[in-house]
Amino acid sequence: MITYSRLVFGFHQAAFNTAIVRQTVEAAGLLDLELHGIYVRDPELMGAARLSGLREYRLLGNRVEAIDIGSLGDSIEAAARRAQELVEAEAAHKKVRSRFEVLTSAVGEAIQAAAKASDIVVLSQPDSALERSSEPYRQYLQAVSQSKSAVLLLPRRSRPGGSRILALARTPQDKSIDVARTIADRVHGLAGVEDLRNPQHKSHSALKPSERERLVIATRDPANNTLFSQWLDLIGERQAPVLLLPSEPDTDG
Amino acid sequence: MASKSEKSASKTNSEIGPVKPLTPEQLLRRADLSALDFKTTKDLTPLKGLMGQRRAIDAIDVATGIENVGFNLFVLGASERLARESVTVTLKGSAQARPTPPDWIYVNNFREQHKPTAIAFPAGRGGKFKDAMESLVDDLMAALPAVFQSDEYQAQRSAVDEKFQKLQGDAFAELQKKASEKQIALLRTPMGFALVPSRDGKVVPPEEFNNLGEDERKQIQAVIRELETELEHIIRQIPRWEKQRREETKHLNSETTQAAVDPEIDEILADYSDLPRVVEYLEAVREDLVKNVAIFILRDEEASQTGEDSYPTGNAFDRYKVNLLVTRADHEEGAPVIEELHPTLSNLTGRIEHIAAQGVLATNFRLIKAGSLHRANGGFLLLDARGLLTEAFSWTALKRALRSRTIKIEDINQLIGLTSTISLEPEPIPLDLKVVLFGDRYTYYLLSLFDPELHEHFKVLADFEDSMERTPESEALMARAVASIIEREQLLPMDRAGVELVVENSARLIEHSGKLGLSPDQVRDLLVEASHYAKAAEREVISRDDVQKALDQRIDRASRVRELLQEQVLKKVALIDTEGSRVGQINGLSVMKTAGESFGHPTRITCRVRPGSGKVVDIEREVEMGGPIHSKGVLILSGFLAGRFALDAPMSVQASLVFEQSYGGVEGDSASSAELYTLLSALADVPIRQDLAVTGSVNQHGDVQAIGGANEKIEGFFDICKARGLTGSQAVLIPASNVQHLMLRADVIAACEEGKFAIYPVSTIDEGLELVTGRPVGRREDDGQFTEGSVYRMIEDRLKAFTQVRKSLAEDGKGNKPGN
Repeated sequence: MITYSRLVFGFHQAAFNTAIVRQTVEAAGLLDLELHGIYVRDPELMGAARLSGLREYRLLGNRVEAIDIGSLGDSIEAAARRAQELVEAEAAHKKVRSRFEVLTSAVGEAIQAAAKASDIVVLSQPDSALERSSEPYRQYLQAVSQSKSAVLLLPRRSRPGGSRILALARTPQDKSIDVARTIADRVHGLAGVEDLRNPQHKSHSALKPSERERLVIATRDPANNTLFSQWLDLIGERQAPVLLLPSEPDTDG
Repeated sequence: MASKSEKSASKTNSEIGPVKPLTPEQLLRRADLSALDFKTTKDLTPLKGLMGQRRAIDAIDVATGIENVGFNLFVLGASERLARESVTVTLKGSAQARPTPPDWIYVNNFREQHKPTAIAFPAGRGGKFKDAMESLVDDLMAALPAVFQSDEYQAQRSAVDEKFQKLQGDAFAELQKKASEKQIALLRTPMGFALVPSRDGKVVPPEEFNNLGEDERKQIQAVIRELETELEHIIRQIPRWEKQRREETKHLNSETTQAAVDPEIDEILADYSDLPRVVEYLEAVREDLVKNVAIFILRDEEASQTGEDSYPTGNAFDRYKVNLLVTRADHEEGAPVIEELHPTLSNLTGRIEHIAAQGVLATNFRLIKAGSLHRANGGFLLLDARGLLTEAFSWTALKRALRSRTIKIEDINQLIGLTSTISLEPEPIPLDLKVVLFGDRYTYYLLSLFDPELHEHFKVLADFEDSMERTPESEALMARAVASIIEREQLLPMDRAGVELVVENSARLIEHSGKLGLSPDQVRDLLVEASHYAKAAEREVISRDDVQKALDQRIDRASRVRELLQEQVLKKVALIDTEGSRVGQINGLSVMKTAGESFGHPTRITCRVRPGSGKVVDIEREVEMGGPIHSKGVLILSGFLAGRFALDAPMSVQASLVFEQSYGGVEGDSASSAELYTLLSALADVPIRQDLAVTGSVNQHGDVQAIGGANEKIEGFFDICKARGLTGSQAVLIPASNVQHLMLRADVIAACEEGKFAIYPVSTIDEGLELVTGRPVGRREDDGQFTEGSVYRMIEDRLKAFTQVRKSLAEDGKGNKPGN
C-alpha cells in the first residue's frame, strides 16, 4: 500500500534544471503525491566566501574571478527564486500540488531534516561530470542513500512511451508488488512482476512502447540498505524511473 | 446651268414609268426542300460538324497542323455556344491524334525551399510517384522511430554518451582526488565552482583560515591556483569533447538512418531510374532524410521547434510529399482540350495559396495550384477573348507565357503590392499548347489596332461566316442541322412545314431572302420553344403552327414598347397621318431594338423653307439629338439640291428639317430620302401623300440606297395602317436594292396579295417623288428649264424667287448704309 504523501526533491543546484524538474513533476503526478521542492542555501559556501583571496570559476565566460560576498548572496537568492518559479510553473502545468522551501543548512542535514519516512526523496543525476564531482553532490548522494525514506531514482535519459508499472521483487510477499499494482490501477496501466534475483529485462527492443516500463519499483536490499550503485546501473539499462522502497520502513509519518 | 451629268440624269427622268408594287413572291422567298424526302426530322440524317464554314474549318486545320510558335488561333464570330461546341469537337478530333502530354509535379527544393522544383513524368506516372512518396513517408514514420528505439541503437548511443561522460568524469575525478589529497574541496556556487580549503570534508572556517600564518595561507592559495588552472584546463576541453560527442552521435544517427532509408529509396529509384530528374530528386530526399532524421524520431511539436528544419503550414513530413499538379491518368488518350470560362490570372497561370499560421500567411509547394495553362499544356486551351481582356493581368500573362514558352505562376497580390507575405517562386514549367481565342469581330479589330503583339501570337484567323448562300442544297443542310439540334436537345421531331418555316426565319433573321443565317443558338432557341408548345398541345410532332407560335410569342414578349408607341399613334398623341396629303410632311420609318427583338414604327418628318443663306438646317443636329451619320445624310441633301437645281446665283434658301415628336435622338441615314422628299415638297409647295411611308438613304445624285431593317419598317407602318383600317392606297417605298432582303410576315403578304397594301421598290429620288406627290418630276427641256408644271420646275422657280428676294434685300441693305 502506498502510504507516501510527498515527493521531496532539490537539495543541489543541478536538480533545478528544466528537464529534471519536468521528470520529477511527472513522477509526482504518476504517484499522486504533493511535490515539495527544497532549495538549500549552504552556509559553508557563504562562509567560504569570507576566505581571503577566494575565487570562483565561472561557467559563463570560462573565467576565474574573485568571489564577492555581496554578489554571491544575491546570486544565491536569485537562483532560489528561479528554482521556485520553475517548479511552480511545471507543477501548475501538469496540475500537480506543490510547495517550495528554501533551507539554510548543509545538504546532508537538510535532507535528514526534510525527508520523513512518509516521503519519497528524488535522486536525480546531473549530466555534468563536474557537478557530480562537487562536494555538495557527493554529500547529497551520501545523505539520500542513507535516508530512511523511499528514494526515486531518475534516469539521465528516459525512453518515452512506456506504460507498464513493474515490480522487481525478491519474494511473492515483496511490498513492491502491492505498490506497483496500486499505481497501475490508478493510472489504468499494466502491472508486472519480475524476480529481482533473475531479472528478464534485457530484451527491451522487442517490447512495444506500452509494454515498456513507466516506473520500476523495488525494495532495497536489507543486507545493504545504502548500496546504490546497482540501482544506478539498473536505471541506465531500463531508462525508466526506479522507486526504491526501504526494506523496513519506519512508520513515524 | 445644269451640269452635264445632271443633264443626262434629267434625260432618264422622262423614261421613268410608273413604279410597280412588288408581287407577293418578291416579299418572301419560300423554302425549297424538295430535294429532301422526309415527313419529319426523324427521317433526316442529322448534320455533324459545322455548316457553311469552309474558310473557318480550313483555318482551324492550319492552326492545328502547324507546330511552330505563334500559330495560335483567333476564332471570329463563333461566340455562340453551339458553334463553340462544334469547334471544340473539331479540336478534340485533332487532339486525339496528338501525344498524351506529361504529368507535372511540384516537389520541395531542399536547397532553396522558396523555389519548388517542377518535374515531368510520362502520362500517368506522376500519380504513382506521389503514392510512392507518401508510402515512403508512412513507412519511415514507423520504421525510423523503431530503429532509434532499438536496443542496438540505444546501446551504441549510450556507449557514445558514456565514453564522453567517462572522459569528463575521469578528468574531474582525478582533479577531485588531487584536491582531496591537498585538503581542498570543490564547491558549487550559483555562477560556477569554487575551490576552498577543507578539513575532514568540511570547509575550513574563515576565522581559522585567516588566522593561519601568511606563508601557510599563501601555500594553500597557491595549491588552489594550481587546481584552478587544472579545472580551467578540463572545462576548456568540455566543448571539444561535446563537439566530438555530437559528431559521433550524428555519425551514428546518419548510419542508422541510412540503413533504414536506403532500401526504401532504392525501391522507388528502381521504378524511376529512367527519369534523371526524379533520380536527382530522390538523391536529394535521401540526403535530406539523413540530415533531418530528427523530425521522425522527435514528437511533432519538438520537430516543429527545430529551427530551420521546421516547415510552414503542415507537419514536418510534408517536405517529402508530392504536389501532383496535373495528371493525365484519368483522361482520355491524346492531348487535352480545356475551356477556361473564367480566365482570371490565377485561373490561367495557377496560383499559390496561403494559410494563416501564427499570425502570418505562409505557404509551401503543396499549396501551388494548377491553372488552365497547366491543364491544357500539350493540347488546346479555349478562351473567350472578351472575358480574357476584362480580367486584370490575364492578357499580358498569356502573352508572356506564349512568348517565353513557360508557365510562370505569379501571385496577383504581390503583383499589385497588396501583400508582402512569404511566397514562392516555383520553377517555371515548359509550355507547349495552342490557344484558341473566341471573339467577336469588334473585339478582334480593336485588339489588333491597339495591341501589335496580337499577330505575333495569333497568326491564324478563323473567320466564321454569319450567313451562307441560300440554295436548295444549303436549305437541305439547314434542315439536317435542325434534325441534329432536335436530336441533341431531345426535342419532338418536326414536320416538313415546320422545318420550312425555320429555314425561312433563318433568312429573315439575317435580313436577306437569298441567304441563310448560321446562328445555331438562335435556331436552337426557336426549336426548344416550338417543341414546348407542341408538347403543351399534346402533339407528337412540332408543326409549322408551333414554330409560328414561338416566333409570335417571342415578338409578343418584347412588344410592350412597340404597343405603347402604336397606341400613341392610334390615339393621335403621336401624330402620324395614314391618309390625305400635306406639303412638307412625310412618314419616315425607323427601327427600335428592345430585348433582342426589333420593330419598326413611323415617324413624321417635316420641312419648312424660306429665303436664306442656302443652308439646310437639321434641327436634330442643332439641338444635339442627331448622330453624325444622320447629319451627314442631311448635308447630302444640299448637295443634291445644288446638283439638280444648278443656278447662276448662290442658293438662297433656308430650310429646316425635323423629326417631329422625337425625344430620344436620331441616328442613321435611312430617312434621308424621306427628308429629301419633304424638302422638295416644301420647295415646290406640292403636297405629299400621307398614306405612304418612306425609307432609304440617298446620295448627291439622287440614287436611293439600301438600308437595314426593311422588314421591320414595312411591318411597323403596316401595323398602324391595319389598326386604322387598310384602304388599299397605303404603301411603303423602299430602296429597290432592299427587295432582296424582304422576308415579310404572312399578314403583310396576304394584304399585298389582296391589294390592300403595297410595297414599292424605288431606285431614284425622281421615282419616289412622283409616287409621293402623284405628279411628274419633269425633265430639263431644250430651253434649259424643267418641264412646265412639273415638280422640279416649281422648285426651280421657287429657288429663283428666293434668290431674287435675297438680292433685293442685299441691295436695300447697301443703300441704307451710311455714306452710300
